[in-house]
Amino acid sequence: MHSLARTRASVARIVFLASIDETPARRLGGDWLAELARGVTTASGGDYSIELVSCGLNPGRREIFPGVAHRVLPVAGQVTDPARAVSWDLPAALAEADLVHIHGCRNRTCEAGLLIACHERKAVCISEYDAASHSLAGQLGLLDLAGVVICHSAALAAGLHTAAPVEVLPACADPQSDLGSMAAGLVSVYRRLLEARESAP
Amino acid sequence: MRILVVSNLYPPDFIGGYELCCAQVVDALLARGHDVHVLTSAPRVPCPARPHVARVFKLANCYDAYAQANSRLVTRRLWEAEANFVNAHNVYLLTSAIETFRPDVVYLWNLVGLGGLGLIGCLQQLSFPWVWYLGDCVPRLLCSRGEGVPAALAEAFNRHVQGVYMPVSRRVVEEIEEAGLRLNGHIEIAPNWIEGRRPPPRADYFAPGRPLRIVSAGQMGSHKGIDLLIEAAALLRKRGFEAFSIDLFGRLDSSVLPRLAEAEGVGDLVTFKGLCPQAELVARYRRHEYDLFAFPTWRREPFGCAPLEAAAYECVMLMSENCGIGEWFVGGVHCLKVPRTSNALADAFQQVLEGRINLAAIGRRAAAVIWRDFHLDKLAERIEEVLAEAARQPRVAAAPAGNVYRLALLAEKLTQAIVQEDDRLLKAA
Repeated sequence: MHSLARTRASVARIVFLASIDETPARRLGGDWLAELARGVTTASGGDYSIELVSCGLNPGRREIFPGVAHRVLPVAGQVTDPARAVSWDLPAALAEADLVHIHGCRNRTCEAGLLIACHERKAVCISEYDAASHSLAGQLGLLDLAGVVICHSAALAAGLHTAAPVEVLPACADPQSDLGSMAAGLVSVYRRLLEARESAP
Repeated sequence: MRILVVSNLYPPDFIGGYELCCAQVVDALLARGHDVHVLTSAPRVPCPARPHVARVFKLANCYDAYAQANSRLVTRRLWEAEANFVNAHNVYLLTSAIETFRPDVVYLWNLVGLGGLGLIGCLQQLSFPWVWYLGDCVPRLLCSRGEGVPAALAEAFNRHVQGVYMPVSRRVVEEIEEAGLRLNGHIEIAPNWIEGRRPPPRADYFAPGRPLRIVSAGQMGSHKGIDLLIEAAALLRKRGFEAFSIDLFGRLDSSVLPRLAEAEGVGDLVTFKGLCPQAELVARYRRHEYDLFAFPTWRREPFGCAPLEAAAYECVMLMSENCGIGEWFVGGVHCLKVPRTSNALADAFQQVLEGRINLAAIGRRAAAVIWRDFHLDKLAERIEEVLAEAARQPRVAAAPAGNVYRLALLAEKLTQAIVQEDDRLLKAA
């Protein structure tokens, strides 16, 4: 099996990038993003390690599950609106990532992260949680920069205007119950993106 | 070869030697049969059209003294970001020019004012080969924000930017590296040059008893040591020497230096001659109107074409000991080198006036070397080779031009937002 064939040294590094307060965790309840990350590492059979990256007032890094860490980057300047927070440490935080999964591209952390990740030719995946027509992402068509756009509802996916491939990983009213299948779906998406990246000239 | 040249300004719209050198190389490459297309900014004053020059880029207000003096700090910071970091409009024009002109290589010059980092990032994304003439520490300037280079920006530059650099001196490389930046790829240090035909040897040199005619040309500022020259003249007069003159060519932006000359009591020995076209200056050197070219410039002088032009006609270079052009010439053999003080300058002038320095021997040696190794005809061959080598590099995994432009738009909008929200600027406003 592919997952068993991988050595510890070849574990792919994935960054989940989210802003301080616009995280899906807040939207969907509990430590959803952390649980999703744990589900992905488990479903990948140890092929992937995940770092949840955001900007915040209490910078630091801690391991929350085996293979899953939460890293908070120091905010540049004195930002009162969390959606406008960004960090000078963001390039370094993304430097070693093989794949950057941006959760909700409607805040400055994620917009800057998308810029950096694209510039570094990383594999990029964007989870879209709302229609983004009013945001910078909508204005500039930033979803087109992603290798894959993830939606958790078919209705939202149908309304997206993007040339990027859209993958629907359904979530019900109780997202916790969907974590297993969602994690497995993400592993499949990541695998495709990473393989495409490796085979690129 | 099809060569796309990118320069912030292009003569007749120019500030200094950087743009003049650019035009000279373009003409040389055209003369050698290459297909050259120049992308530059809309001129600051009307300019005649030339078929191979597209004056389409937008130049940020970084060189506009009037606008700078009449704007708020936050506005100036926005201009700085537009000048150094990214201007999406210019990125769009560059991608369009690459698609339509289909060059083999892009030849970069001064990118300050054009959002130079964005242009470099664009070429990196397109995996397009480039050669960057560095007549100054432009990468450092482009990575600067306010007072210095942010570490994160230096790190990003070091990770992503790789190409072929042609700095005019080791000094330029050092100055860039002192800011934490690395020039990854190939570095080919090559000097600036002269043009024209070698004249007959100079017969008439300075000799004690005759007036010593000193000249300097360039920007009239203290960074070029013009104040030191005035003070040196005053010191010489105090030591009892009167048989000398100093002619200064260049535009005066204020009356500070003429007032200094009057205050030092050397208004009769030091003459401000104003801006002089390059061809007219060269004609003066050719007529041997001067004996010494004084160049007491600052340490960060990348090269300095003005003394080279004078020395080609056996007008001896007297320069500060650690400037860029000094790397290419041996003190006491091809030129005179002195510490950058008015005393040291006065001492050197005095030694010449007393006949203790043989200007003829130095002048002849320098001219021989310059016409042999520093002529554009000679250097154009090497420039051509470097461009051809770069053009042969394989292009790997080029991003689509549309995505590159989209990234430039994103970078521009993020930069504008971040600058405007900077709390220090808000307080200043």
